[in-house]
Amino acid sequence: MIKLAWLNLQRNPYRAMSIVSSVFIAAFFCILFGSFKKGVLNSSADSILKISGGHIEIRSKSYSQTRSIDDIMCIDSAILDSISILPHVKRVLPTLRAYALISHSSSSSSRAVVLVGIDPESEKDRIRMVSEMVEGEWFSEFDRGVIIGENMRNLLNIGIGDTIAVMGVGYHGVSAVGLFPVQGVIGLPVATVDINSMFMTLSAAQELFQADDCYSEIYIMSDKLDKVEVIESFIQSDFSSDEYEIRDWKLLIDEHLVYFRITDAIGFIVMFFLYLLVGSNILGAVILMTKERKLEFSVLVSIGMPRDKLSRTMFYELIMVAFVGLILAVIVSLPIVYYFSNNPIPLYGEAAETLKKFFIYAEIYLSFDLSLFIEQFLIVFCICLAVIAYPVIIIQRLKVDEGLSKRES
Amino acid sequence: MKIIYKMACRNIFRRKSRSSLLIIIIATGVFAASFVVAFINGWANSCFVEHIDMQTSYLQIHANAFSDTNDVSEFMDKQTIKEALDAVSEVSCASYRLKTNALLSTAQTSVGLTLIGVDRDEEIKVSSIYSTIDSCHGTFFESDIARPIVISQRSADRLNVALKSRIIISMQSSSGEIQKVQFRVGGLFQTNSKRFDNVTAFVQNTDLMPYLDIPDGVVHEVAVAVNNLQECNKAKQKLSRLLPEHDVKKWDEVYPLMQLLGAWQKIANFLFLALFFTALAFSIANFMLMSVLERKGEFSMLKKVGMGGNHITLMIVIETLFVTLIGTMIGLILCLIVVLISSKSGIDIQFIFNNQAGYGFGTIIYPMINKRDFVHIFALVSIISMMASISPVKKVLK
Amino acid sequence: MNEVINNNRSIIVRTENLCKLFLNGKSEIKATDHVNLSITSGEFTAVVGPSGSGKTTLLNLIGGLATPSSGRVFVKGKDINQLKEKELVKFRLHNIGFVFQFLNLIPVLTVEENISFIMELQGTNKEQRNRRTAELLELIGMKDRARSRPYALSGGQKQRVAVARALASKPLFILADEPTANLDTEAAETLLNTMLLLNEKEKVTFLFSTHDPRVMNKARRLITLEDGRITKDETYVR
Repeated sequence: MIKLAWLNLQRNPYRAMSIVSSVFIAAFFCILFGSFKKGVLNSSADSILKISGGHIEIRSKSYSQTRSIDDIMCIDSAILDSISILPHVKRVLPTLRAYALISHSSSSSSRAVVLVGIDPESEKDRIRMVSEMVEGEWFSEFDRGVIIGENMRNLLNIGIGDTIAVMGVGYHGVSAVGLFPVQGVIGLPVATVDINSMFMTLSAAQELFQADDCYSEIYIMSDKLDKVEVIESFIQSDFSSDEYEIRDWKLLIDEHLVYFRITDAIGFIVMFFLYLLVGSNILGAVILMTKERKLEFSVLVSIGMPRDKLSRTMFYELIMVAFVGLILAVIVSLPIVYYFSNNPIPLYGEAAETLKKFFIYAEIYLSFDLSLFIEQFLIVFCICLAVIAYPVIIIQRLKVDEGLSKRES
Repeated sequence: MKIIYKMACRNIFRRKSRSSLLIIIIATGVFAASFVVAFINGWANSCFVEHIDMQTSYLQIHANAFSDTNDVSEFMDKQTIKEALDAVSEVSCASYRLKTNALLSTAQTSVGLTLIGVDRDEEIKVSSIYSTIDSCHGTFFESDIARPIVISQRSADRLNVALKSRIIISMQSSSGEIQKVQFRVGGLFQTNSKRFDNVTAFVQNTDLMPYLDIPDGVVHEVAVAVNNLQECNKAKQKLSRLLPEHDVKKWDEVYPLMQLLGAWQKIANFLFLALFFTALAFSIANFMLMSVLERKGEFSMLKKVGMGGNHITLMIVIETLFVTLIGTMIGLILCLIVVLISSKSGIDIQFIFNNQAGYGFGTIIYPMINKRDFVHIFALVSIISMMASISPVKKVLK
Repeated sequence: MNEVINNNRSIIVRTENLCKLFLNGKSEIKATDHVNLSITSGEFTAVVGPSGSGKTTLLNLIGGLATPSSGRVFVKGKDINQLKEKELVKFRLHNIGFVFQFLNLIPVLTVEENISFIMELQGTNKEQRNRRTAELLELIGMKDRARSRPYALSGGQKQRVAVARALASKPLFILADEPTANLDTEAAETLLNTMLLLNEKEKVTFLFSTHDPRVMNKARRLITLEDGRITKDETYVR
């Protein structure tokens, strides 16, 4: 019977092709859509996280509550190394953050700022992606200078070469005093951060506050949003939940999460309509084909072919055609999605300009996820199955004499 | 060519099933696209309303160095600002506020947040917080409680206090002294934003002033309402010019991350719709190709009778155009119906958030769509259909 | 170039070594094999022969519906295969009328509209169209069925309307491919008489292809085709 189905298809290749193309369009666009949706969500989440820190944040529990420098955590650097080699960990970004008073020669008053000690190598990429050096140079590992924000520079009227005096309280109450030259000015997208923060190398900060191997926060950036939980499970052994607090990106950007949910919801709604659209396309193709072959069916039934057998033949025909369409769609979409998951698609327009203001590259990476392919494959396949019901029903209810007499419609 | 027109029309009715299938495809596409656009519009609108109404108001003016530290000593002269605001026609009203960081304590716990000192009559014109206080949760400075403080329901839960409970407020004056003052809870508000609720509390200007050690006639923050959203930019520009020493921020600049999210939102919406319309175009093209192939015999007969390829193409185009029109009309009407129905009661999208409220906007969305959107969709779909019908015909006629 | 022969009637169609080859898998089929013939105006000619002898192909070639593999076709002195597609279509519209075996009429148009269709494509104005349509309807005796649709007509009636339609544009000649094949005796008789009438009155040339003896009996010239070649060409006076 399968052979019969195959022969039938060959008889009228145009007809078969039209259904194949309907199914192909359906599956292709569903896959592409799913990939776009996920890609956009990932890209937007990533961009927010780049600005706000990272996918995972580790802090000591006491520090979360008091924000006091005495409650920072001291971790062996070996542990940090072990984290950085975990799969899907893109970067480990330890920071040492503390309040201090700064003063400089051009003014008599002092000002409270947040001193942020960062690892120059790791942070280079992250900060570079979300900001731009306006003057001066980024840190090299042993630099002892500070980099200030553009707004702070304008406000305090200081520039490269000026010296800033820092006064604060260090770890375990030692006084933290030092003089630091301004070695660079950076433009940061978030103005409030800009005006209140001063950056120095981690080692310089640790030296100032006498807190070797100590950090206020450790951020971990992952290369894939969905793999964050995996990383979390790995590091839980190193950071016990009594002493440490591990927050992942979902908690970090809690309030903004709703935007992603909404985008997801809108995508979901559009996808639903997409299914409706392509489903009706496939249905249309099958309906037309059935109508065309009504005469043929009538002839077959009248010469004695049981309706069930005929239905089954139709079923096999359509299943084969559906499969061809589906597989073609996967074959064509696979390389496209793969290519664009590694090479981003640039974005243009007003919204893209806004992104650029935040120094985020206006581009999207498509999401390459095999489960996505399989998911869409199955959904479209189910739609095809549902559609195939139509000719089967028609055959069952066919009135033979009517079918035979209609010669010229 | 009247006869071709006649033929096209009659052809449509002759092949009822084919025509109606195409109509369904187009109607679905148009309905989907316009509904999504309406939904997005409605949501964006509710976001704006929520944020502007409750949290940021249209514009905010601060002293340049005030920013996020809420440094009490960075104040502005009220009169200067008032004059500037009066000079800008787009401004409708303003609320002059004092602002400082404060610690709210009860016997058991303490909570740090931002304290905003307001003048009641000015404030209710600019922010709608007062409207979230219902009668059993106090008032927005309308009762005769001495030194009332309006906090959020969430803060009240954290502090374990109720109406009329006593709270000690500790704040730092401009000279650095720590002041501790007792207030009583006068009202409990609740917005849709967890974050905002947790960090905000209101007191009256007159109650706050004496403890901040600042001169008369100064303010820390001015919240400005504008006549309508479109005039916001203009107002900001004018004010920035009039107040060069001050920091004038638009509502989306107060929380910069919101700007970023808004941009991503737009991008996502655009991509979704673009993909959808591409799929629609291909579907229509596929369908047209099928139906044209099927009519090959009919075309060759017409050709033999004397009809040229151009005439036949014209006939197909008229058929397609007509069907497209019907389909688009149906889609748009369906969308209008749904929008009209849902605009009364709104669409509750609670289910998406698994009952987690407090995300920054209400969960009821009122979809809205305007004429321009309709026209765009209509034009787009028509163009797509035309293109989708011409190329298969040309191919088949060769 | 108007070629004139004995009876002072002009030649309207002339073929020169007309050949048409069809490829059927690996073998070549000669549908027309070096056919040379001339048709003069006013003829009522039938091309006869067994099925597969190439009658339809010959008619298609003469009517410009097919391109010859070799040889030429002259209609009123013009080599129709030299014309570009668009010009050919126009030429056919104005000069040649067709009647097929079936599927002659446009199903969505009424009898009237089917007849005036050609004229509308030619650009004739409404008044003239209506006049000519009424004329033709009278000639074929179907005035009362003017508003009917093709599906409501019998086979014979449909063919008569087809002839009227073919005549509407006042063509040089009408090509009819087995017009009576699907008709019963009475209908065939009526159709042929109509065509004879038109041939006399309108002075239109008719070229049939047929294997119907009834048609052969009424034709004034019989061209016999066998395997693509003309084997007999006889003129009769009736």
